[in-house]
Amino acid sequence: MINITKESEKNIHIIKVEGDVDAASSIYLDKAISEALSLGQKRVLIDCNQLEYISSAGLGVFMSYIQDFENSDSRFVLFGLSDRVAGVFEILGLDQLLTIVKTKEEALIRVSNEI
Amino acid sequence: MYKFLKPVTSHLPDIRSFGSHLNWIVLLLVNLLIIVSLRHELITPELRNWAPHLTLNMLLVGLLFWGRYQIGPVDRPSFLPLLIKLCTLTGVGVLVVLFLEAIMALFSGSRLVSDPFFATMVYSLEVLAGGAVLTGLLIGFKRLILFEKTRLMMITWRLFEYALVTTTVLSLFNIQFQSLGYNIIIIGLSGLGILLSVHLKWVGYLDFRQKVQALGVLLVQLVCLLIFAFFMYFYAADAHLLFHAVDNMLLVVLLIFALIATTFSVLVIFFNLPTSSVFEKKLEDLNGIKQLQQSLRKRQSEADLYQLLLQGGLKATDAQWGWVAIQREGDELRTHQPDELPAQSISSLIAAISDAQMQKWLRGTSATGRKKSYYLLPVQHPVYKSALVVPLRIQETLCGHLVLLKNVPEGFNKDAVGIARLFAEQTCLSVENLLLLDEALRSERYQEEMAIARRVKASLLPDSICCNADCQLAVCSQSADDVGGDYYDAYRLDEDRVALVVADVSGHGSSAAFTMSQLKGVFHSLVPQGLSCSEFLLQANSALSRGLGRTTFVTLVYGVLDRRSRTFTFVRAGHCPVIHYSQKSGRLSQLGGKGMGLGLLRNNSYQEHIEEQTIAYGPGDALLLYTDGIIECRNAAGEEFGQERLLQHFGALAAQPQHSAQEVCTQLQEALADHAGLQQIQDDHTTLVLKFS
Repeated sequence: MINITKESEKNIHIIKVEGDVDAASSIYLDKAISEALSLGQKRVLIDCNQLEYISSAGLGVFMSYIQDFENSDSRFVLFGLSDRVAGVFEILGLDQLLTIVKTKEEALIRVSNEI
Repeated sequence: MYKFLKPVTSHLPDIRSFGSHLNWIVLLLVNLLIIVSLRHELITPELRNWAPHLTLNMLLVGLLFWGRYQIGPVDRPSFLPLLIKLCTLTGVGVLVVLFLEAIMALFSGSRLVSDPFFATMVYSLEVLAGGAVLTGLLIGFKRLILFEKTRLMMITWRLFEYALVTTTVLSLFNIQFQSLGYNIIIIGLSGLGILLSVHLKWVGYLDFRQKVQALGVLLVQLVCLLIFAFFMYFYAADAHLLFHAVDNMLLVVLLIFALIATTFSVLVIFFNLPTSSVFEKKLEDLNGIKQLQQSLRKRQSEADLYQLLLQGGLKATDAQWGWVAIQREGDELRTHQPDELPAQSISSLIAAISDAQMQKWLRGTSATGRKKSYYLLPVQHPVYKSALVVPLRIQETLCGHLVLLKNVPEGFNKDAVGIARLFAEQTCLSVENLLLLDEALRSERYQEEMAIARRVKASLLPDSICCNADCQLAVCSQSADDVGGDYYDAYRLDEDRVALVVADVSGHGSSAAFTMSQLKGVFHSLVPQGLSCSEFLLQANSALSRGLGRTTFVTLVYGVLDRRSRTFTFVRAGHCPVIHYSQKSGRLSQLGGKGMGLGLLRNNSYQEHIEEQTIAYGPGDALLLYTDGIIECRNAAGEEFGQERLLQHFGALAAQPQHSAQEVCTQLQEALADHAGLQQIQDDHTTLVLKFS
């Protein structure tokens, strides 16, 4: 149901999330993000191009790292969200707390500019 | 009654022993009959030739039937007792013969002994003793040979029996000893006897000790049979006697068969002696496997299973030492050494294995590139010279290995590898079963937890809900099994104002139920304070942030209905927008606006992210408050109910003035059920409908 792949290019850590993030699969997303944090990654991108659906458990995972990223002075950017998924973030108000952009290029600019 | 019955049962053995006595009495009587028939002058010489044989044959056939009744079918544990029984029978027969011979020798000078009739009588007694022994042996060997019988075996044996009956008839025709016809029949029957005697499957089931014992017993029996043969041959040419046993074909065939069967058994057991240890070993291996299987039923721990694997593997392959290493996902490599042997340093043993890649794998630092089911490796160690490594796969994932060490180079043959692999597979299967059992137990506990959560969730929802007089309020709420926690409630603030809340708690199971109860507590403690909507939200966020789990949040709509101003003032905390149907314009509007879930921002900046909204309602207007379980409800094709469909249905239902709030609510649920089809609901969903008059 979920497939998470990680890749790093030039200090930028990209986590690609594919499929559905529900209560069961959100554990893997949680693990992937916490791994990136523990490795000291300062620029983390989440590729949501293939993210079909996110449940409140998945939103909870993103929510729980907001403070951690702020504390460690890291950049955390989501990109490529479908309209539907973006809508879910908006309704909850999570778009006000996270950096969400349309494309990977924008995301790369965001993380490179600000550090 | 009982007293009457008891003597009868106690007498039963006597009757049975009487039966065997009867047998001997009949034997003697028949013997006398033979003698009388021989002696009587009335009997013609032709009659004299076949009458004794006929009586003897009838007696032998009678003995055969009696023997069949006496010696039942045998199974593995009763081979040796049967052989001893047969040997005892033979021994007794020989003793009778020798005893009679001794008497004859003692009184050789007397007139009575030299009398042909008396000599014949004694001779026939001896022949009868021999006959009894030979029929006993025939039945005994039949039981042994037909152990694990095949159809072919049964047919051959049947043929042999018919042939024996035929010889009984033939012997009446007075075929002379060593005549052509006689020899042909004897050779034919002997051939059949050999064919049957080679079927000695029972030998394989004796262990070494039993084989040695059986060998001794059978050798004694062979000697006894040779004495019989010698005795028959010795008297074959004695002109004194009125009839000769060798002329009785049945007796001769029985003797030949007994000799062949005994000789073959002796030879086969003798040559099987060295291989019996192999057979015993196989049995031991089988027992090991059985033990392993039984251990599951006893619910032994995983560590016990690995010990069994080690013990079984070491014994089956004759290895001197070994270990089992298990590494589960995300876990350390755990090694198990044999309990019964002195502990050794595994890392130094791994270092002695001359294969760098294998060393890495055994240390658990790298996955093996090759995917073989076993590895045979040379070892450079003062004691151990060769190693067998068997990878262990549990639930189809490689999770460890069994290593066995031997003190000779290339010490593991194909058989040893096979049995070690079998042990390994069996252990993995047992461990797998153990894990599945654990899982089943966990799942049961989970189900229980879910049931509790469901009960808690249901008990937290209000039984009835209050509302103002100028509007109808209806709520439909359905709870999913494990996910979500929807909450709704109402509170009358004063005569004109009622506070409403519809909320959705993230998380699932019991954690959602606990969050729900927190929420209810927060709601009921804050509402009576008469706070403004945004103030309420701020306080609620602050209260919940302290109690919620790391990934848990709550979304809700909190609003106040005011009858006097005919307004609905509300705030949206990250919850689905409120839908307003205006009768006047006939249009629907979604009231989104700024908002953020409770627990997302756990500091004072929360208030920047929320927005209080007020709508004025007119007669015939309707409001819909709902949770995201509705729009996210999927059908079998994975298609969501969606916002559009909700708006469409609600718009159509609310536009009809005759529909009450309850009808609107119920029909919305029906539309949702139609969409979902047979799919189980995945999340809680709640609809709260307000219809104003």
